[in-house]
Amino acid sequence: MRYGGPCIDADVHHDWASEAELHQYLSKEWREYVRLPGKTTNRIRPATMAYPHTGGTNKRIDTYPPNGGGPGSDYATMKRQLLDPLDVRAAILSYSIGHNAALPNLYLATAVCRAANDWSIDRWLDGRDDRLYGAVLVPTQVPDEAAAEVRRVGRHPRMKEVILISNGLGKPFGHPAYHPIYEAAADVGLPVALHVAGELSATGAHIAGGGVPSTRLENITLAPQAEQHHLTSLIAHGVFEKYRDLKILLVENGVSWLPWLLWNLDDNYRYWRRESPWVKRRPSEYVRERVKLTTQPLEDPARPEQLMEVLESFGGMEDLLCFATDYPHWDADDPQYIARKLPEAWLPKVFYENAREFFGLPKTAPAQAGGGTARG
Amino acid sequence: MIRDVGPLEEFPEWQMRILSVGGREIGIVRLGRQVYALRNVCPHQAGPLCRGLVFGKVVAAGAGRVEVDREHPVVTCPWHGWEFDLMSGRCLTDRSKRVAVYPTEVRENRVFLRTGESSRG
Amino acid sequence: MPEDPAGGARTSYGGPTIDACAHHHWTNQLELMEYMPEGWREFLGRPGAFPGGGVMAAVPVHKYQHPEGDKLTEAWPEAGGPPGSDLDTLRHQLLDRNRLERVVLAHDAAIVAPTMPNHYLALEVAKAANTWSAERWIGRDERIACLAMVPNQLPDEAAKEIRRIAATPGFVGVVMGGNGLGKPFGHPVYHPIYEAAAECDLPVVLHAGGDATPDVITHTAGGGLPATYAEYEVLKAQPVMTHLVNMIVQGVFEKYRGFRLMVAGVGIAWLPSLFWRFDTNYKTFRREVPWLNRSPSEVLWSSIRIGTWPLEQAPGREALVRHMRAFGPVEDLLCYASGYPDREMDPAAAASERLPAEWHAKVFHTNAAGFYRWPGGSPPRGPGTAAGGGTSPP
Repeated sequence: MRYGGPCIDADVHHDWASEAELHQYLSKEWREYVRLPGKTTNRIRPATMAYPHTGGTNKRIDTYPPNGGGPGSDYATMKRQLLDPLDVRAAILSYSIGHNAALPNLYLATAVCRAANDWSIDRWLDGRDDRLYGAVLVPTQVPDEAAAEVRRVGRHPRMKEVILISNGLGKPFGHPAYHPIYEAAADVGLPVALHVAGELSATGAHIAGGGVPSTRLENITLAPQAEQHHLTSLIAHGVFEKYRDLKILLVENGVSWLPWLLWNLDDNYRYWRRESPWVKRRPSEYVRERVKLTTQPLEDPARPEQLMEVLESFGGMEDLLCFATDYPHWDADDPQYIARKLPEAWLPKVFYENAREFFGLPKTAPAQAGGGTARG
Repeated sequence: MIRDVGPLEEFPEWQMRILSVGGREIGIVRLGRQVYALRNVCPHQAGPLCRGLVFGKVVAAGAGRVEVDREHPVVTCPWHGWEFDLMSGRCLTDRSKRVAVYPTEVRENRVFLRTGESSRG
Repeated sequence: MPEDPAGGARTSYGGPTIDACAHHHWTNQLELMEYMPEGWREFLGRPGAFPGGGVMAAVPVHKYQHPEGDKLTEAWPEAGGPPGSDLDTLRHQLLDRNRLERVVLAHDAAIVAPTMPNHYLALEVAKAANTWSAERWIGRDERIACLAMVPNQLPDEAAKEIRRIAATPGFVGVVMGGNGLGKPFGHPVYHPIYEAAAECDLPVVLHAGGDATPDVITHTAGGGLPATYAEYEVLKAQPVMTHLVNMIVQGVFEKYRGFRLMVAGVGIAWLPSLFWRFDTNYKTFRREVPWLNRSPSEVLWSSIRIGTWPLEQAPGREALVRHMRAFGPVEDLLCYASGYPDREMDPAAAASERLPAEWHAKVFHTNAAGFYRWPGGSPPRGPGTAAGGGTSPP
């Protein structure tokens, strides 16, 4: 085993076993609206991109639990497959994938986000397992409602981030229209995670420039474009200046594009100040200080040295990376596989310390037989 | 070593059955009277390859003209979906990745598996 | 001689230099209109006919402007007209100063012509622009070559125009900037263009900036529209990445053997992350695109070249080289481009300082010479050659 030390998994997807499980957390009125006679159907999920995954599902086929729910819906299975084998000290649970927040009906989207957060607190963050932490799901289409939701549940001791999963206004995330969300996050002391896994069709933005691609292969290859823009935009609109303690986690878009983006932004800084005078520092300084990236899916050139050369050309990446599996999705990274791709000296930081500090988690001892962790 | 792993009808078509053979997990799948056996470890990230799905090989002579080559079925890894030729164990899209395959024989409607000298890439 | 920590003495390159992408433009629209049919000239306006003088502007204006001005201050010709419109100025400031053997002129603001909603007029602009190039630039200086403009919103007309200009020596390729039909450029609707180009042995050059006009329906970046030029400037590589990925996936290079492509105006440092991700995902999604029988980076190495401008200004001398070397022998992919008269242009000497001396002959000459079929070029690598940067061939 290349790495046997403590681990924090910054991106795990939990799920309700069926929508009926979530409906219980909706108001009576909304429950009546979303239920159709006879059976529950997906009234609370927006239509999403129409490229089916070639495996028939975007989940690892071996993660289906025996009890009939979908991947990520059964705690015992997650414990067996993910939490226990790896000495996970903390896992951030961020819905599957929470794109309910992107429902075109903004009122329903708001209601579903609230229900999802309540469901998560009640069913997963109830102390059954000290390793489990959660994310506040918010309807980005209505930033004031999103902010209210952050304030409503964001102080729960197990809520560790606000998660932005959809681009409700079709504007890059630094745009002032979204600032109420950062204000609320700063108020409750939570970082904000961008998990934009597809600027879904309900929004005005596209996942990539240049037109909508035809295949899933293209979509997943080009997916980092949106997050690259969001990071650029957060810097351009002075979000890091306005909210002095705000931290950002970039999730699920790989890491080796960071040098390209920041070399360019740093170079543009010499004239950027003329059109954005509130950008008071070099972009890379903001990133090194306030931003982390999850490792998954870690780029996989033929030789690991190739990846290291790209990361070292920028330098300091060992402080910026937070390991994540993305369990139970198809492109999840096996932890030992990732550990072999990175220098041994990096592993304690990448697998544990960077995330522990970022999320403000206590140091803990390994899990005990019952499934919790002892506080260190 | 040659082992009798059971009657042919206990191996449903297009579905991998994973058996523990001599300390190794081996996935066995039958297509007609052809029986394939592969090691249940994906050469990519060591996932459980044989818990994946078995398909005919999808090919195309030109963009959009999709056909199936049933002579060269594949198993797709349940993790990242990489395709492995059932006969050779070779990954269709990465020649450096190959899973061990084991010769099989069908005699009197029973399946025999030869292990010990696996065909390795 | 400054020392090269990346391994090789770094000098200002003194050998024959080809500039794979600079920009030319008409002095004013009247100059272009001289090459249009009479009816269109009448429609657009006789000089001085409209209140305030002037004529109807045909080509849309770009949405983002550099805070310090889009063009080099000194590039504004003394005689008047915009930068890139005066041959003598261009000779002096670009050809002579950079000691160029050749330059490829790729149009300037007009690359967005395919986004014009009036496709009839867009076709006339393209045809007139090509005739203007042939008469005013090609042949006026033996070092000058031009890219042809085509209205890609009318692919059959574009194909016809390619076949028309192919007979004129001095046209060495076709520029695609503006996105006329709102689809990534590999979409079959655009294929008549590539068919014609391949038939005429002309490459296509994808130029940045084509998605930043008012009427285009494609976006100049993922995730929404940028607010500022500084954001636009780095993110403008994204549509070009989309086109590259789409053209490879849609089998353009399988369908038209010998077809070759260059990308210009997007720098180079995005290459490793994009193609590593692309190659890896291809292994998962081959079944979706079974007509693609080789890894994406194999297509890249065999048929695609990357213009260097604007070369990323990574801190120090070795960071960018180290980054690019990790991808493979990129000296086989890169073609020096100045981007003149853009404010962020890269003079040849400055570019040579940032690249290892052992790359210079290829980057400054042989790659472009091969790509544009000039003497002294290296032949393109064939398909199926793994260059160490991508995955092994299947």
